[in-house]
Amino acid sequence: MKWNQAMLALGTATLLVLAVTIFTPIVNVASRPMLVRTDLQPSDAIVVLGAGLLRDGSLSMESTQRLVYGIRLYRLGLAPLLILSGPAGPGTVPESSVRAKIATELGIPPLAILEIIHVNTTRDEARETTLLLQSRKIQHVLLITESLHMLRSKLVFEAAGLTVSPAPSDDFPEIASTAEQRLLLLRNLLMHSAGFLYYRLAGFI
Amino acid sequence: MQLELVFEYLLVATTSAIAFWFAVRKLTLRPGVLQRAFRELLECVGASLVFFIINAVLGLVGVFLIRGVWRFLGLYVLTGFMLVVFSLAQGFLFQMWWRLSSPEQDGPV
Repeated sequence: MKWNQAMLALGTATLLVLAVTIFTPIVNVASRPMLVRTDLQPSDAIVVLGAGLLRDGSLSMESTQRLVYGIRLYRLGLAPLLILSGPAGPGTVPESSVRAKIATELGIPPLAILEIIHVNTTRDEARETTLLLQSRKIQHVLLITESLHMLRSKLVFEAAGLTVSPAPSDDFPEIASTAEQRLLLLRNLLMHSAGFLYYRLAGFI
Repeated sequence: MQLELVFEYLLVATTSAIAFWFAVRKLTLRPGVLQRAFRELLECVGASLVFFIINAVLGLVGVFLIRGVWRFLGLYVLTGFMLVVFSLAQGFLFQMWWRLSSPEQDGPV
């Protein structure tokens, strides 16, 4: 019976937390410490972090959103270089190459595009970007990733020696208002908080 | 409040009320038993949370083991909603098994 009582308490707590998450803006508020203010400044390069491919080799929604924002900032003249990141999936071309093709089709000069292919993590992306930019003797980047991923990304890029101006590609933590959106936000918050904690504990940031 | 935001809740509240009326009036189910059923539902949710935590922790260990001995595997493999669905199935099945195996459940079938 102790097991049943323990499960009853856990189940009640779970449903209460779920109800509070869905019906109140608590998860929106809880996301705020993870957010970094947008700071659009003229920079040496715009870096668009990877976000994955679908099985058929096309960009995920998140990857597309980041790319479009990067292209917009390039066309605003905020930097002369567009660095596109992202490895290949199983049996696909690299995400960076898919992005480069789309960027070229949308009018970005091929010579302004650099690709980062052999990366799996945000830390890899920071290291590869630094190597790429060191050879050109530049270090100020406009960094594009999703809002909840920005804090960890900014810190790890700064730890790699770059000067970072954050440019989050979404405002989801502020605008999530339906039950589904708040559940998704909760999932993303837990995921990126765990990632941040891991990077802190590992000494990466 | 926008109708679009509350429509699903209104729908579920309506079908729940209809189901309650139908169960009591037509199927002659006892309303008092519903409270016990809800209690058992909460126990199943609790068991599902336990399975979710076990899945997440073992999954983390598995990802780092695979990274160490074989190839890179992103932690994102643990963030899909299917892990929640599978944990719910595990929790409900285990809790019902536990309940049906407890001595007070024994008796004529």
